[in-house]
Amino acid sequence: MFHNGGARAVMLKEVAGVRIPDSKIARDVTQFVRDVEDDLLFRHSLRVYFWGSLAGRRRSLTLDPELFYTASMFHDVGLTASFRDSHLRFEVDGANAARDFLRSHGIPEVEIERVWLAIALHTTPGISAHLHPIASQTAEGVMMDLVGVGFDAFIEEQRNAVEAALPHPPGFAEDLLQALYEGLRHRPETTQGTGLADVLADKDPHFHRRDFCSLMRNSRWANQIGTER
Amino acid sequence: MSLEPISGVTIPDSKIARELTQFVRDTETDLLFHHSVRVYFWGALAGHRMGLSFDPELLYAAAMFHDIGLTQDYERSQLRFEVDGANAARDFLRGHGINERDIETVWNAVALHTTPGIPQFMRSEIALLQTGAGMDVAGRGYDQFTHAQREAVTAAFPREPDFPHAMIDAFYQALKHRPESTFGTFNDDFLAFKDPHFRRADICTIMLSSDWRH
Repeated sequence: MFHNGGARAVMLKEVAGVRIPDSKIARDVTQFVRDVEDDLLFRHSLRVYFWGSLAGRRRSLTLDPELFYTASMFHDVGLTASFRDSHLRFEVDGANAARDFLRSHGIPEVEIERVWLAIALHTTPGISAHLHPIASQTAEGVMMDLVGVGFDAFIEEQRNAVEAALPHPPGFAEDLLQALYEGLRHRPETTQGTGLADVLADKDPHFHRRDFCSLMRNSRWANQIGTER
Repeated sequence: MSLEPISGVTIPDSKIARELTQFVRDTETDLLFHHSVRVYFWGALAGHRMGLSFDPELLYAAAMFHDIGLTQDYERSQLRFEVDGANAARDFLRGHGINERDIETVWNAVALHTTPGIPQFMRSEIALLQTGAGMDVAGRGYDQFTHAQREAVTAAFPREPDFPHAMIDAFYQALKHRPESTFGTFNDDFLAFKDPHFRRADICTIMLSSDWRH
């Protein structure tokens, strides 16, 4: 299932001065995610770990490496084949998978909650930056890897080191959009009112984006004016 | 505000709740103030119906602060209006000696009340604020409330004659100076409705033209 790139990535220990934790739980995280994700998502997730860690250092944040590694690695697990029957948001599926994993490893609930929220909110703009560093750095790492947000804030040597170890493959953006679509096409309703609706609109000509103003103007309340005031 | 209980739900009658009411009463228009109190009732009524245990005072705080970020105090903010409201609630509650864990619950409730599909898996107060707001602005779960409940709440805290358009206008006035804060949320629908020149940012275009392409 995994090509050479994936196998090589697993061997990574340190990039740009950031280490992948060398513990049983981190190795189990790597194994879990490598078994369910393809190279595209697996390597994207590893880069998110490095971007988020590097940006966290720049901001002098205290970040538990194991918990942050878990959040980074699980953030897209909800897009995988195991969730093709789910009608939850894919972010919640990933958050729940991480929670189950961490519980089985005896991690305290308060820390599990932080990882859960980091994954659940990684596509929600403008909130994570105000939360615990695990959430802020997951979102920051994701935005750097997907769209280059904060690109220039990274030292060029850091960018080059991460890219040398885990290069963005040719066609990365197109392939990631396709991976999002594959993970969401059976549950388009879960994207309404989120940025992911753009992916459905781009890929599916029959997708109808919900307009919140229409929803308000045509709600059940609309028939009640004059009778329940 | 003294009021007969509605299906067992009352506005908490504590010092902090009264100060909350006063603070929001002084800050918000009737439109938002009445909306916020109704949101509390819908949330609390739904909580009772679902048998959830929740802290009425925290739910009341979250409901009363949830749209504070739409007021003039934030006409220069570039944050999401939900975050402005969450921060205001946090500051208020800290000033009243509420513990940090409860403050975090209220912060999350306010910050996430427009984020679909996530609050229902979080603490009751967070879930119920979204339930209440969805009922009041979009009639979500309308039929799960009894006719008597709907009558009693809207009699005490009336919906304006054209509530949807008044709310759309309130959102627009509060967000037009910070359109970027609506990206990836449904708040951009308010800008698109009111401003024919508004162009919604599209995540696919952004991904396909990022720095990684150069």
